Amino acid sequence: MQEELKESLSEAITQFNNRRTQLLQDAFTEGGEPALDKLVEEYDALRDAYFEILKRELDKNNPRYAQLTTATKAEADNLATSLKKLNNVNEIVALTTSVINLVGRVLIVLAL
Amino acid sequence: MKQSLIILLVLFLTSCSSSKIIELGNATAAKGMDVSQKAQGIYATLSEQSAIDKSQQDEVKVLTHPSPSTMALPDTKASDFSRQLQPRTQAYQNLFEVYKAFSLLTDPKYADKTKDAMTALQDSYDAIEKMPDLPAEVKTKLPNVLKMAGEAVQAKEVKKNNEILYLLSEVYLELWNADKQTWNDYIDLIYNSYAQGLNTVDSKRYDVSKISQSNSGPYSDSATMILMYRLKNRDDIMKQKNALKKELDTFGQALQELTRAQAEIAKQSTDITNVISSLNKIEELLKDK
Repeated sequence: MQEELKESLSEAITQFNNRRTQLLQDAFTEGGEPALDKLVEEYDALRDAYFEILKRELDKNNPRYAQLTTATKAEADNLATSLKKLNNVNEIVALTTSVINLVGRVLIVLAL
Repeated sequence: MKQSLIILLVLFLTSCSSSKIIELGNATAAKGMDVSQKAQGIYATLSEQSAIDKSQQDEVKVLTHPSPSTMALPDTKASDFSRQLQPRTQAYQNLFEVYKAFSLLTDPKYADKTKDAMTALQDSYDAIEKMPDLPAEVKTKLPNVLKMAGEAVQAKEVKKNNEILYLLSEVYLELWNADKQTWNDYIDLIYNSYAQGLNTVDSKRYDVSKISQSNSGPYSDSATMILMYRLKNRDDIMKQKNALKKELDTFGQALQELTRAQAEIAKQSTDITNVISSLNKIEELLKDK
């Protein structure tokens, strides 16, 4: 239904645009500025309706994008944990080095 | 002795495949950042279309009005798509941040840092005269063994996170494909309306002397010159429209290749050539043309 409406609107907009100057001229000749303004308003309404359908199509996926935003945040946390794991190995080795340096200094101080 | 040789051999073989996985993961992370940034650029371009459309429609309204001297200044309502663009831009901003974190995890220098740390540890140990000397074999091999072990741990983490990123990129791709036709319809309506409306502007509104100044074609009669001018205008608008649609299509292909690369890395036995081929395609697709 929505797809049919979309096609009809697209067709009507194309038809109007292809004869735009002539249609506006006819409206102006027949009813002056008010008739012309009304025709332009109707054309704008057709476009607005078409854009509303496009927005609705996109809105259908909005909640899933919101879910993806949450999922990517969770994955960023996972990656931070993985990085911490990797850093831990180097930190332990670095800590051991500090301990050994300390042992060396203690041995020197105690002159053993 | 035999047992330690086997352990070393296993570690060596694991290390070869580990370093490859880390390397591929790092290259994929870089491309993932590029693709996410491209997506944000595309949504920025799409958000500009509303103002472009308004300005084009105002122009057509003036040029097709039967009595411009009496008409009020047109002010077409701009179609606001910000509520649709915001969650999409945010999702790709987050994807960029995730790939940035993934690039840190896949940093090939991690294992080298472990090796350096181990060498520093040995130097500290050797500096203490009272301590017994480490066997020469241990001294030479230990940093490398630790490096290999570090690589194996890193590769395991890379594989694990790559699988999650693969699943995420699949959903991004699915949603992009679901939106694609709508964005194409949006661009079509904006540029077709403009071109079609301009095509109907009355010939009397054109100043042929001005057209002839910029016209290099061998035409002298006014009607032909106006028609040629109309054709050029229409072609320019269609080129602009098609360039936008091509940009959308190219981005979709790049996202698909990114998903393919991650699917391949997620496999039990990764085919390196497939991953490299996908990454090269992304490079080519995202190149400014």
